[in-house]
Amino acid sequence: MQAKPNYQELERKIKLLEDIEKNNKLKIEKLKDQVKKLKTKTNEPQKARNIFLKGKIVILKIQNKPGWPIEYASQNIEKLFDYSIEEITISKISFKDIIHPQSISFFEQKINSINTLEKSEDPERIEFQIITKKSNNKWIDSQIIAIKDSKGKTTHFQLVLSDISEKKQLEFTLKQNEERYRLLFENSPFGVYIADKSGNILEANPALIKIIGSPSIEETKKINILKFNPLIEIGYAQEFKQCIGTGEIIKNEMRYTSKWGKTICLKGHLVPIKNVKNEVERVFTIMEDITKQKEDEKTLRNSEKKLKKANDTKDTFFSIIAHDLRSPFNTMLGFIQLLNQTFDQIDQSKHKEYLNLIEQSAKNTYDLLEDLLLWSNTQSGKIEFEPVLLDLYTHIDNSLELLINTAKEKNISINQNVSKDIFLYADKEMLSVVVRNLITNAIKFTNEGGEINIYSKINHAEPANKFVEITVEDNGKGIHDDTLQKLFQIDQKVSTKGTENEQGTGLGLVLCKEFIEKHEGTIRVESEVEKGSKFIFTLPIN
Amino acid sequence: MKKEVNILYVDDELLNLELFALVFKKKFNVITADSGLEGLKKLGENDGISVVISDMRMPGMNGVEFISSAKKKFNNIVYFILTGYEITEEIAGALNKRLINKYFKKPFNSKEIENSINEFL
Repeated sequence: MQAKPNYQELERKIKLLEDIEKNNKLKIEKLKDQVKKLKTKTNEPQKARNIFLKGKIVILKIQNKPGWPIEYASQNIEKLFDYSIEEITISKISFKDIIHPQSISFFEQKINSINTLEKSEDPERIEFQIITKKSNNKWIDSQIIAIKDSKGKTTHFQLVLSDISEKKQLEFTLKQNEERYRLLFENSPFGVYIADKSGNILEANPALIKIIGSPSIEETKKINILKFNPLIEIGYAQEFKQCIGTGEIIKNEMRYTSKWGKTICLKGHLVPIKNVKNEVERVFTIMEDITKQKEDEKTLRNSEKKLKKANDTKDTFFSIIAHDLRSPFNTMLGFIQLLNQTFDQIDQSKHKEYLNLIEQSAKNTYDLLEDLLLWSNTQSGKIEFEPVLLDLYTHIDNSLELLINTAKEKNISINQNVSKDIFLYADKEMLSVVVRNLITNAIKFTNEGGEINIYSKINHAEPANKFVEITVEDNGKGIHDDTLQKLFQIDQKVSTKGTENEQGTGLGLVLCKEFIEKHEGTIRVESEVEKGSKFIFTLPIN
Repeated sequence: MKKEVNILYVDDELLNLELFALVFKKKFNVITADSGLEGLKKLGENDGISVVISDMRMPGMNGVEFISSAKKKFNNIVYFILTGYEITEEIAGALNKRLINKYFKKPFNSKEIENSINEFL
């Protein structure tokens, strides 16, 4: 007979089996865990890959052969090249076909240099252009590594590409803008500088350098506007501070002597440049050199002053003339009326007397009118200055002929002692008027039996400016000092009666002055009361 | 019957003095002077002068200057200016300041002068 299994033995056996089960469960758990871990490990690259493929970075592997055949391209190649992955792998497109012709030699250069590198630790990074299947130009940023075989020979290149077309466009636009502003800045005829709020000049354009007379941009940048004494003195530093303080555009005008010794008048604007917080960070200035403009203004003002003076002189002159024309008419009309009214009551001698007076007045008026018209013509430029070569002595002699008789009536002798060998260029008519006027005056203001001398002297002082001095001298009444000043001025017309009450127009000497000055000569008078007068005029001999 | 009105006429032109005297000798007693200075002298010598007529433009003192001086000493006299000028600032000033009563333009109208003299006397 077999013994029945013991209860304890059964329990022991159950316990053993339970333990084994437990261990197995643990093992299973452990294994499950491991499987899980492995799974994730294998999934991660896949995840990464997926993320990668949705992104913009493309990986390319090209063979180190002519044309660079593409051996491998990442799935997202189509986005970049417009060629599908199938087209690339099946049709075996060469990378060279995709590179833009303009970039090919550059790319080749880089590839070759990478090739020759001993160690390719860091990838070369270059930018070049491609043409996609749809004929789009794109700019590519590419990192390139050479892949070598066991023998160290480069078999492939790995390229990591990204599309930087947008970035390039931005760069280009920025550059264009910068170029545009730089052109403006460099070529502006106005001086421009940019300074920071501490007064340091950061930039200055060529026009500014020229305006302030600085030798160079570098020298100009050494100036600090707030600390430079000349600028402080003229108040410019103050205006600069004001611009920064108020944040407003300041217009200014100043007279400035730069440290390089140039004095100029400048007109400018100080313009504040504010940052996002609306604080003034920089100041830029445009300035213009208005020195010439100011000079022109000054010249214009002077010219205006002169014109006004001339006008006033003329006005006075005409007022005097009006008076002097009315006066003889007063006399003429008065005597004519008198004659008319009292004709039958007065005798013939009185008739004769009045008629003589009328005749005299009429003649005086006529002379005045003639002189006036002559003067007026010189003013309006109607009298042409026509110099001819003439012999001074003969010319004066001719003018004297007509006056000898007038002189005889007062028993005055005229002595002509002008040198006979002087030839010069002069206007015949004008010279005649001058000589006649001076001689007539001399006769008028010389007493009975007096003497008039005419003589010449050549002045050699400056050989280039030779001139002859002609003097008309008399021993007559002479002229008072205060009258001497007024003789040649038209607004001070003086008409003095001669020793025999001879009437004059008062315009004679004014005309003489005009005519002599047309010859670029001068006229002056020396006189002493009761002793006589000397009228001296000069004419150039060329 | 001749009116005993004494007029002093001052003018540097002798012809004008002669003319004036001839024209007015029937109506008034004309005394002449050929300059401001002489005019003042004549005023001093002749008490009975009641009217003074002076030319404007004369060497030395002009008409207004002469009358200004004269009026200081001889206030009771009626003063006139006879001139070839258009009315100038000086003459206008003299009129405004009542230095002169009227001014006549040359060539003069004898009737106008005669009437004015009678009016102001």
